[in-house]
Amino acid sequence: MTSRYAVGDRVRICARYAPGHVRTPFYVRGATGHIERVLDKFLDPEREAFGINAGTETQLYRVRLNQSALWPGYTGEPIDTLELEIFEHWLEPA
Amino acid sequence: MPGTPDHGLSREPARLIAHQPHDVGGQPDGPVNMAEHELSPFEKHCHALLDVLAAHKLVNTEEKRRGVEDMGEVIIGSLTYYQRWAASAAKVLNEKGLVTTQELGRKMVDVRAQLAAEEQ
Repeated sequence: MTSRYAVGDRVRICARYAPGHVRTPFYVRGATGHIERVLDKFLDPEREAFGINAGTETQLYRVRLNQSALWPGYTGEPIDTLELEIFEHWLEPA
Repeated sequence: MPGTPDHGLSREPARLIAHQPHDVGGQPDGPVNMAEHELSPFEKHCHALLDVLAAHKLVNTEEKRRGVEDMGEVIIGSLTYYQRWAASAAKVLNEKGLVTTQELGRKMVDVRAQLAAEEQ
């Protein structure tokens, strides 16, 4: 199965705020970074949270963001990054 | 949340609905308590019960977490970790019709009576 994004692709984490069980942290929604690696497919936790235990396999990626872009006034090193794992339906091309 | 864009969520009710209580990343808070903690018998029972419920696909991990989040920040903040698990499991089993409030309530009365008898 092919994934929608490849290593190095620029992506934006969607700025969506529907109520529900969401594993995409609030503070990274709307942030832009790139695909660091393509992971496996996993059941969608947003559906598992309501008892859907099969049929929702969703591509997961590791996304790398620059800390300085995430936190205005960031005082750490400019090369500091944050990596986190994001499902495909939470990404859009940037 | 320093630096987090607003995304039109400046009205407090919108933010409260969108921002689930478990999602604390990026927010200021106090120091983390790193002290070791011996699990009580209740906590061990609770952990074992939730593992059994997950193994039988009755309450999966995400349902358990969702059940905790649904309780809201005030209740979550007043319960211990395993008390949250127990309350969440009761809620999810009730939602699925696997346990009724009546059954659970009667059993809780029985257990309380048993514990009181043991103390005497």
